[in-house]
This record gives sequence, C-alpha cells and structure tokens, in this order.
Amino acid sequence: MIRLFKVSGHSLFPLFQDGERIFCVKIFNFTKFKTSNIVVFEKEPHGLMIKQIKAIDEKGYFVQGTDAFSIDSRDFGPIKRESIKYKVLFKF
Amino acid sequence: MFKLDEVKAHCDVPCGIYDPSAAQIAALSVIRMIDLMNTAEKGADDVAYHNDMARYVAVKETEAIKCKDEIAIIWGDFIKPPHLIKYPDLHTLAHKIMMLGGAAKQHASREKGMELLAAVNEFAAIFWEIKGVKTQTVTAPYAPSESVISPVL
Repeated sequence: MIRLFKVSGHSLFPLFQDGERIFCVKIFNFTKFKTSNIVVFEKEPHGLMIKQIKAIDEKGYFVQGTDAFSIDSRDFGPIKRESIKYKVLFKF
Repeated sequence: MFKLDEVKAHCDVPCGIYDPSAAQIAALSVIRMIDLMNTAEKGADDVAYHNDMARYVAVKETEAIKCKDEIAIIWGDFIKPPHLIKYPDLHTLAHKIMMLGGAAKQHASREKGMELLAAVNEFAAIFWEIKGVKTQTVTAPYAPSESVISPVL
C-alpha cells in the first residue's frame, strides 16, 4: 500500500532531484488522478519511471518531465491507467 | 539502513555516452598543428611548403570546431540545472571554451591553443567529478605532449 523509492535522474528538476526519496501510495480502482500529480508507472524497456501528469483524455495519461530532454509521453505517447503503480505524496 | 528501489527520472537516450576526451584530443591537435606551422621550413619546393601549411591550417580549423562541438554536446545535453548549483561557473567556462575555440581558428598562437586546452581540462575535471570518477593529470604520450586530465579507470 505504501512504498518508498529513490529518484534517479534529473528530468523532474526542480520538483524532484536526483537521489531524493519519495513516499508513494499504491493505486486502487477508486484512486483519482488530476493533472500535476506525480506518478510512478511501469514502462518497458525503461522499467519503473516517475513523471508528472500533464493531461488526461480518452487516449490515456500524458506524462511529462520538466526537463526538455526528459523521456516521457512526448516520446512514447500516453500511458494506460493500468501501468500507473503509485502516486507520489511527498519527498523526504 | 535499507536500500530503496529506484524510479527513473531520466533524460535523453538512456545510458547516453558522454566523454570530454574527444574535446581534449581535439585541443591537443590544435596545438600540434600550430607547432607544425611554426616549425615548417620553407625549402626549395615552394608548392610543397604551401601545401603542408594549407593542410595544417585546415586540420587546425577542423579540430577547433570539433573541440567546441564536443563540449557543446556535454554542456547542452548532459549538464543539468542541479549541476549548475554545485558548479555555478560552468556556463562561463563552457562559453570561454567556445570563444577560445574560435580564437584557435582565428590565430596561430600556441598560447591561445594552450588556453583552450587548459579550459577543456578544467571542464573535464568538473565532468568527471559530477560522474563520481577520480581523475589524474597525465602527459599525452604523443606530440605535443601536454598535460590532460583523465579518469582513473
């Protein structure tokens, strides 16, 4: 239900910095999302990624980093709800 | 105390390869070309002399551009805002390299070539420190046999 992770990379700077630890909660059917939420999701071949939700529509969830070079939905398109595993609550 | 799993907030192509050594070799090549230009002898064959000199200038031009390009890639793609917090003079240093690269094309001054190498070495030292790799100062095992910062592998 609760999971702690360590952020690796700079694509969400200044929201999250490389090496920072985050406190996350698991996604359930009743979990609601809104734009600006930070989520942890599974995306092959990258594995578990962390990005910010920029838009939600019928195609899925468009996730994006804050860095111009971030690998995100601008590269691989929107992600499905099922691939979102955790919502980030805060860093510590 | 315990190890946390990582979530990736990566940029660019994953596992992108960046290395300032190409810029260092280019800066050494600029100095080498300047040395050759300064020691070229104008013998009886005037055409051969001009041919050699034209080639030295052309290579110097190419290597100075390569040096700038290699640094610009690391500066623009690898360096991120958090790095600038720790190394606030990094933008100034990168811009200095751009200007010294231009000066290396414009002039045939060994002193300016050495300034370019020194600035590129300084950039390399910061780059490897960011990567958490120890560095050492070694002498290039080929002419112009100048000092370069290299990672301890």
